[in-house]
Amino acid sequence: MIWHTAIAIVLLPVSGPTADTTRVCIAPASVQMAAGSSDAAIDAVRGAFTSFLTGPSLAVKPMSSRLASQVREEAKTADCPYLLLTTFKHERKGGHSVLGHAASGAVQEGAWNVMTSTHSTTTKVAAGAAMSAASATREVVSSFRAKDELTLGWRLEGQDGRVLVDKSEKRKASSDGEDVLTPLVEHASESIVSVIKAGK
Amino acid sequence: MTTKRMLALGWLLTLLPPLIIIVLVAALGAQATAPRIALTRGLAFVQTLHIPEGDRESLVTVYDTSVASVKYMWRFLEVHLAGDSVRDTVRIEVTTSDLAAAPRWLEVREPREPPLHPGYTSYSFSTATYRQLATEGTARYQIRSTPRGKTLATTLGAMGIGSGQQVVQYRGTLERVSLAEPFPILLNGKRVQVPALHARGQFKSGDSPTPWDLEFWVLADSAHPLLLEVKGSDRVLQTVRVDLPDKRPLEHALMTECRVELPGIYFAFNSAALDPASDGTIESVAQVLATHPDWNATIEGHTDSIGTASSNQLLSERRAGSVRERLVSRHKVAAGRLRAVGYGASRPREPNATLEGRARNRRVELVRPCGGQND
Repeated sequence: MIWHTAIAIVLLPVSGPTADTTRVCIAPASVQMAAGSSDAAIDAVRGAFTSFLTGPSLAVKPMSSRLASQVREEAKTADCPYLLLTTFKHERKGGHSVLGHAASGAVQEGAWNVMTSTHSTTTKVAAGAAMSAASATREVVSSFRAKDELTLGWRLEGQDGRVLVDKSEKRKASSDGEDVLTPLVEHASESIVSVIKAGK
Repeated sequence: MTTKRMLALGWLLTLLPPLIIIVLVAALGAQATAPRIALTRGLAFVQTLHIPEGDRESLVTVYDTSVASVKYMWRFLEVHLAGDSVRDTVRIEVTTSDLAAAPRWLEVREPREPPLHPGYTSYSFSTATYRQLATEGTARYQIRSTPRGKTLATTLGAMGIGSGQQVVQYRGTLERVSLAEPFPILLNGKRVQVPALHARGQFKSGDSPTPWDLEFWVLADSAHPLLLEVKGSDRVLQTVRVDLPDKRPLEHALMTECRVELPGIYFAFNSAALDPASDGTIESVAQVLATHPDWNATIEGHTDSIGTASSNQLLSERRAGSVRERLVSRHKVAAGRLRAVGYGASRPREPNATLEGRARNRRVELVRPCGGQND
């Protein structure tokens, strides 16, 4: 039985991009947060797009450059026919006190995010590696409060720099911790896939 | 009345008017030598707040002025010792009639409150309050804030009943402590001292069990008595940096000193993303470079000492790179004329021990080669 299993594993097809797979390079999201960690948001956006844009004919390659000009060069080097640039804006219409009194309605988040305050690259890298896309999404949406607004922008560029799609969409959380990110990414991914399909 | 007493009274009456004039001239003199921080479009100031829970840094920009009102954009990031953070952007509008006469300060903004809250100022005393303090020494004042200590609403809120939020009106009398104390700020990248009127008062509210003792320092300028510092028992709000929209000194400094610290360049926290409030300064740099096509320039990024040396080095390089990228992509400055370098925290201007010092050290400098003068 053990022998058969081993053979089965060996015979399994190797997953990964094939010649027919269209590769989309994804740049780190440009993030504006009302509360919580920008790093978690970058991970969450990348993770969510990766999960929606990965399939038999699509693959996603994450880029590390932050500047638009650099990421375009990186995408060319990675031989990606498409580059996806995203923006993530989390807005909270809260009240605030000039002298920092909490009871005014200024939002006090839970102490789940140690990365923002430590500034430590080592901590960030270690934490980033441990954080899966799903947990990053959970972490980000846990900071959402009812009536918070999330705006997701996505811009798909061809290898020649031509803008193929440039859209943004906004959603308002109706309750604390509601995941408004995933449906926005799903909708964005559908529009991206349809553009890629049309271009083939 | 004896002759002696009459003579003394006569002397007093003779001396009093010149004495008053001397005091007023001294006050006005202090005002005249102070750099003007006019409440105009493009004015930006950075405020730091120390609270027991952590620190906050705010960037306030005046994005519009009219005969009717002044509009401020307040962006801030508050990082707490517990590891959480609060970040937000708030629009605030104050009418010119309130800037002239309102004896009230809006210390708290409620959730979803519109930008305009008539009857209050936000970042300055009104001219009338300032003048009253300067001439009479006292002024009745009100502050809209949250209660000090536990109230019924906050107790119920802690039990899950209601929001726990309550806004109350404090009333008290401000008393002038001094007319023109020297107050240090960073004005357009240079450390200067401006005269500040110092006042204090105790404020009480029927809805708050604890009185509130506050001290204020405001710019000694009746046209714009900007709040420079507000000190309570456990918190201090301080204006540490002011950037005036007039960028003419930029060209002069580059011409004479070959190096200038760029005022009005702001980045998102721990990020190289340029804040839109930086647009004016970057445009000014582009104009200067257009006026002097023979000038090449190096953009230097500097950070404070928080974080590791390598992360600061990277951040400073990325920030300098962002400014270069913006000049090249948006303002069409030839890429070959600009170099971007980062120095991390290796070249501090001030000790990093204080929030103000760290704010001073986080900067972008523009340098042009002038035969070794700029090193």
